[in-house]
Amino acid sequence: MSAQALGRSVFVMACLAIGFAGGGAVAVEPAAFFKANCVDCHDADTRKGNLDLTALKADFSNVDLFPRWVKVYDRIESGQMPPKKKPRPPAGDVQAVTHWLHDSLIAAERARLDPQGRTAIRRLTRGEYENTVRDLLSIPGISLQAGLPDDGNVHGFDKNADALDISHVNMAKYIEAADSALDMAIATAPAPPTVLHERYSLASDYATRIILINGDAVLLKNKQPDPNFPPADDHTSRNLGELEKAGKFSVESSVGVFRHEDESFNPTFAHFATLYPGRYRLRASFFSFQWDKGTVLPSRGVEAARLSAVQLRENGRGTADGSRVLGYYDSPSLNSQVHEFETWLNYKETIGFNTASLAPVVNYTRKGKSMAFTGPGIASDWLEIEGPIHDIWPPQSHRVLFGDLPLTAFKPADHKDIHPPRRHVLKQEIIHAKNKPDPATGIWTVQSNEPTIDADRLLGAFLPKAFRRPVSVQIRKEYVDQVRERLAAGDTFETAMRWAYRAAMCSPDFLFHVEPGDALDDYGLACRVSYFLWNSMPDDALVQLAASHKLNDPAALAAQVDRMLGDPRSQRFVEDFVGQWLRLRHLAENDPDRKLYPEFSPYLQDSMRAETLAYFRELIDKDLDASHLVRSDFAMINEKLAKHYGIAGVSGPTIRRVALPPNCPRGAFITQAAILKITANGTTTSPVVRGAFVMGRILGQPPEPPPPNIPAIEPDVQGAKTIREQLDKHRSDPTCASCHSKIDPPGFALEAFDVIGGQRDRYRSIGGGDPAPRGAIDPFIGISFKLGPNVDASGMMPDGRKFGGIEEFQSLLAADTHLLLKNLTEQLAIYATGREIAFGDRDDIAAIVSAAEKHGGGVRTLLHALVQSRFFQTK
Amino acid sequence: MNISLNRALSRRTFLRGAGVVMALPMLEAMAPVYGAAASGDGASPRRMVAVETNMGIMPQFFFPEKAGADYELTPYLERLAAHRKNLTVFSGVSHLGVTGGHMAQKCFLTGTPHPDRGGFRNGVSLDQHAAEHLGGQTRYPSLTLAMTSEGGSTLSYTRSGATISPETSPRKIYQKLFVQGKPDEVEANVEALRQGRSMLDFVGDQSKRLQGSLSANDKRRLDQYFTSVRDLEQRLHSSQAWEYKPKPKVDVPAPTDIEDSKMFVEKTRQMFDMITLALETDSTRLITLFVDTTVIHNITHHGGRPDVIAQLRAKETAQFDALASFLGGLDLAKEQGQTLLDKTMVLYGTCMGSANAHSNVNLPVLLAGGGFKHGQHLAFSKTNNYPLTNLFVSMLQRLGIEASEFSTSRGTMSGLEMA
Repeated sequence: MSAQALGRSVFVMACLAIGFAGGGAVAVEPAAFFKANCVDCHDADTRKGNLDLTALKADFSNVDLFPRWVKVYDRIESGQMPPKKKPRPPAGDVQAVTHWLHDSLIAAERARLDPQGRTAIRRLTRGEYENTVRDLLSIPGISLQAGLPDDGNVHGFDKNADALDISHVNMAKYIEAADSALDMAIATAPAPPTVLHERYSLASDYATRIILINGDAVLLKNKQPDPNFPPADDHTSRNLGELEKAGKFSVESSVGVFRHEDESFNPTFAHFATLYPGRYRLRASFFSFQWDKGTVLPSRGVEAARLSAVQLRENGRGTADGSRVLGYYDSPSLNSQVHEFETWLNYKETIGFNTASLAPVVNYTRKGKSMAFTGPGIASDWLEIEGPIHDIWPPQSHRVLFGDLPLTAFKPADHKDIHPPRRHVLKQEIIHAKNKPDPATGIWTVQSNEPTIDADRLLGAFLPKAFRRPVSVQIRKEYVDQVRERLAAGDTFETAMRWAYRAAMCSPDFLFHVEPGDALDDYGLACRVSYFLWNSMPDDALVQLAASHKLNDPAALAAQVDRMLGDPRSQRFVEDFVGQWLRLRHLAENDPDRKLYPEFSPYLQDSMRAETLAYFRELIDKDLDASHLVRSDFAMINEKLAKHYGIAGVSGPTIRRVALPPNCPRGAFITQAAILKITANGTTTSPVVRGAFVMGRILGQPPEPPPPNIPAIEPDVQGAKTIREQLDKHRSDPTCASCHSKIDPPGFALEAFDVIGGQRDRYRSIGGGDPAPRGAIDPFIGISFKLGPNVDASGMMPDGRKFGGIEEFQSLLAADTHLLLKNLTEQLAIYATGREIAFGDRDDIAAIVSAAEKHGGGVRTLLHALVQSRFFQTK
Repeated sequence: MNISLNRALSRRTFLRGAGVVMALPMLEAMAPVYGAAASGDGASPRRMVAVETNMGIMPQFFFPEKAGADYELTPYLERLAAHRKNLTVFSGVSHLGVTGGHMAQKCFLTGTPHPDRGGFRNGVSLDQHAAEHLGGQTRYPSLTLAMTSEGGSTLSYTRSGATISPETSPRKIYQKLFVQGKPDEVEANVEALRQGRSMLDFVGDQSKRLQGSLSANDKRRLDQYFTSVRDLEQRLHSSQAWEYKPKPKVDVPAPTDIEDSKMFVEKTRQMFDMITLALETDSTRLITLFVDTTVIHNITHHGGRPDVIAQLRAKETAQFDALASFLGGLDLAKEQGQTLLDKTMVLYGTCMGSANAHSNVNLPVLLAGGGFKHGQHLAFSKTNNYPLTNLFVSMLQRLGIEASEFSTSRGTMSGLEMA
C-alpha cells in the first residue's frame, strides 16, 4: 500500500475506482457495502464489538490493523455478519466484498512476509538445547535448562524466533553450560568408577530417627513391631544419642511411616549421595499396613510410596535445592513388593521417600503417641542402589569427543612446557553420606601422537553432528587451526580439543536452526521432523536418510514418523507440546487454599499431570479423533484420580486406561483436573478465564483482550455472591455482551468443577453455609470448609443452542470435530515450524486438515499429514 | 529493629546495630579510587535502587486519602514516618497497558505493555537502560538481586528483553563484592577471561560467515547473536581490568544464607544490608531487588476474610519496617557532605494494585531519596491512571542521563522536582 493510502478509511476509498470484475457478481464499492450493511452498529457512536468501521483505516500493511481486517473478513465470509436479525445483503455483494478483502489482505501479507522467509532463523529453546546436548554427548540425564534464561512465548509457544532473543546473558550461560557438559563428558581416569552396590535403610536417616522416637513412624520386623524398638508412647525414652549407641535403629528392620513429608520432615536414604553422575539401578521394597495402637493389621488397599531424587547442596545440612519425582510405587497390604528401575543421578543427589497416598497426620503432639494412633502406614523395607553403570570405558560421551584414543597418565614433571589439564578433586561433601570417591589416580588424559591429524579426524566427525548438517573443509580447518594454536601455546591435546568443542557449542551453527533456502533441504527436513517429534537433534538413521536424499520420499518419511513416535524420545514432544498448548507447565503455579481444598496433595497434582500427558499419548497411539479433546468414553487415571473423580475399581498409583461409566463427563482434556486447576487461581474459579482458555486453546478462537480500565472482579469466598452473579454485567451491558456471550459459556459449563477439578453442585465457602459432607475425602483430613451457594453450569452458546450442564456442553462441542481438528492442526503447526499461521496459510492448513479427515481424522494421522505438508516442509 | 534511628549514633554503631559492621575504606576515603565521579564535575555519583514485591501491597493500608504535603499517615506509611521528608508517595499511577495479574511482575521496571498476550517481548529495564550509560565506572555495572526461593524471577531485562538471572544468595553477593581472589586465582581468572574472549572472537567470525547464506531478515536476527557476542566480549574485557584492582575491604563477616522460605522478611533485610554495603563501597550504582513473596501467595487471595487479611497485614508491615531500616542506614552514611540517601533513589513498589483481584492498576509505589523535593503525596486519577514510566524518565534524568522518554512514558513525572 502506498504512503498516500495510509490514513484513509474505507469511506475515503469510495472515491477510488475499485472495479470488481467477473463472475457475474454485482459490482459494489466496499465503502457502499459497509455503509449499507455495517455502520449502523459499527460506527463511532455504537461501536458494537468495539469496532468502528468509520475509523478503521484500510491500511492492510499496518500490522496492528491487519488482524482486525481479517476478523472483518471472517465475520462477513462466514455469514455471522450482518447478524441474523438484520436484512441479508445480496449474495453477489458479499462475494465481491470478501473477494476484494481477501485479495487485498493476501497482497499486503505477501509484501510483508515474502522477503523474509517464513520461519525466521531462531536459536534453540532451553528444552531443545538441553536435549540436543544430551543426545550429542550421550549424557542423557545432565541438567542444563535451569541455568539458562527463560525463553519467551509467541502464539502460545516458545518455538518462534520472536520468542527466542539472544543477549550477552545467554552467551555467558552457553559458555557455562558447555563447560559443565564437557566436564561431565570427558573421562579423566583409566578405569570406570568402582560400582557401588549397597542396600540402604530409612532408619539411618536423622529425620526418620527423630520421628521414630516421636511416634510418627515405627520400626517393624517380619510385619510386626520390632521387639528391639517398641513403638513410641508417652513413656518412651527420647534420647536419640542413647538409642543410637544401643544400636536400636536396626537397618535390618523396616520403617513404617505415618507422617507425610512436610516443612520439617524430609526423609532420605541419607547414607547415600551421588558422587559420580550417571546411570544407576535402584531397587526398593515397600508394603502398606494398618496400625492399630501397637498392632499391625492388613491395610485398606494398595498405597503409593514416592521416591524422588533430592538435590542436596553444600554439606547437605541445609534445605535441599529441590527434587524430582522418580515415581510412585505400589505398596500392597502386608506383602512387600520390590520395584526395580534405572535412573540418571547427578552429583549430590540422594533419594527421598514419601508416604504419598497417606493424609498428613502427626503423632508427636498426640497423647500416647503411636500407641494411641489408629491409621494407615507405608513401610520401606530397604533401597538398593547400584552404579554408576558403564557398559564401556571410556564412556560413549568421551568417545564422541576423542574416539578410541588411549587415556594415559600425565606427569607434569615430564612435560615442563605444557599446562596440565585442570582436574577437580572429587570429594564426598555430604556429611551423612557413607559412599566415598575412588582413590585418586593422578592426572590421566587423552594421548595423541599425531595431534593435528587426530584433531582433523575428530572434528570432522563431531562438527557435522553438532551442526546437524555437512560442514565444509574450510570451516573444519578453522577449528583445527585453533586447536593447533592452543597446542602451540602449551595446552594438552585434551585442553586444546576442548577449546574447539566449546567454541562449536557456542557457535551460531550449533545454537541456531540454520535452514538455508525456501524449501527445506534434506538436512533441514531431518532437523525439523526431529525437533518436532523428539525436541532434539536427528539421530544417525535420520541423518543417513537425509544424506542419501531418501527422507523426502513420502513413504520413507512416514516410516520415520512412526519410528520416532515409537521411540522413548517422543515423550519429550508430548511433554513439551502439551506443556505449552494446554499450559501444563504451569500446573504447579498455584497452591490451592488449604482450608477450602484440604484434600489437595502433591500426589494428586503429579497424578493430574500424568493423566493429561498419558491421554495425549493415547490419542496418538490409538489414533483417536479430535472429538476426544472435549469428550471421551475412557480416562487415563490411577487410584488417586479415580477417587477424585468418583470412579470405582481402580487401585494403585499406575496410570491406566479405564472405561468410563455412561454420562461421566471425565476423560477428555477440558474435564481433566490438571486443566481445571491451571485455569483457576487456587481459591476461586472464573468462567472468564476458563472460557478464554477453551476458546483459545481448544477451539482456536482466542478472544480479544479485555478493554482497558475494566475493574477486575474481587473474588469472594465468604459465600455471599457467586461469580455468575458478579458477572451479570456481561449480559446486561451490550458492549460487554458482544465478546462475553462467546467467552463465558464454556466457563459456565466448567463451573461444574472446582479449582482442583473436583465436580461440584455447590461452591465451597469459608464464611456462611451448610456443613459439608466428607464424600471421598480421606478420613484423616479435617473438613475445614462449608457448602455455599448452588452452582449453575448451564448456559447458551453464541448461536443460541442451550446446555443444561457440562455433559450437554461437551456434546455441543464434540459435534464440531472439524473445528477441533483444525485448531489442533494449527497448534501443532505453530509448534512444529516456529512460525505463525498467516492469513495466506489458511489453504495449506485446510489441506492438512482435510488430508487427515480423509483417513479418519485421528491425531496420529494428523501428525503424518502435517509432516507431509508443504507448510511443514518449507522454511 | 526500632525505626526511629537516632541520628546522633555514629555510622559504625548503626551498622553494627543492623548486624553489619563495616571498616575502612569509608566512602570518602575511597572516593579517589572508586568514585571517579560520573558527572566529571567532582560531584559524588548518583545511584539507584529499585525494589518490587511481587504479591501486591494491600492498598487500604498504604494509600493516604489526602494529596499534597500534609497527607495523613496510613498504617504502612506510619512505619516510614521517620523518612517522611525524604520520600514521595504516589497514587493513581500504573504501567499503561501492563495487564495479566502476576505476569505483570516482569514489567515493573520495563513498563512493556501486555505481558499476557501472545507475541509479548519484554523491553529494557530501567536499571539496564541506565547501565548502558553508566556501566564500566564501577566493578559491576549493575547488580541484579532477588529474594526468592524459586530462582528465575528478576527485575532486570536486557534491551532485547532477555532476563538477567538474579543473584539470590547474600553470601555469594558478599563474596562477589569483597572476597579477594588469591594471586594465582586472579591469574587463572584473567587467563580464563582471555580464553573466553578469544573464543568469542572466533564464534563471532563464524556468524559473519553464516550471514552470507541468509535472507535480509535472518541476517538481522543473526546480528543479534553477533551483538551479544561482542557485548559479552566487552564485559569480559572490563572484568579483566577489574580483576587486577583490589576489592574493597570490609570487616563485616560474610552473611549466612537463610534457608527457610517463610523467613522472607529476614531474608529481605539481609539483602538490604548487602545493598547498603555495595553502595557504600561504590561497587555498583544500580541495583534491583526482586522480593518474591510467593510463600504468602495463598493469603493474598484473602477473599475478604478478616483473619487472613490480618495475617497478611502483619507480613506486609514487617516488610515496611525492613524498608525503613534500609532507608535509615542510607541516611546515616555520608559522602562528600551529603547522605548516601540524598545520592540514592530508592524506588519501592509492586506490580499489583490488589493481589486479591489480580488488578494491575493503582499501584502502590513510593520513591525515597536521590535528590528530589520529597515529602508529599502525588495523587493522580484512580480511574484514569498516570503513567509510572514518567517517573522513570525523571529518574534517568536525575542520574544524569539524557532521556526524554522511556517505554510508555509521556514526559517526566508531573509534580516531582529535583532538589
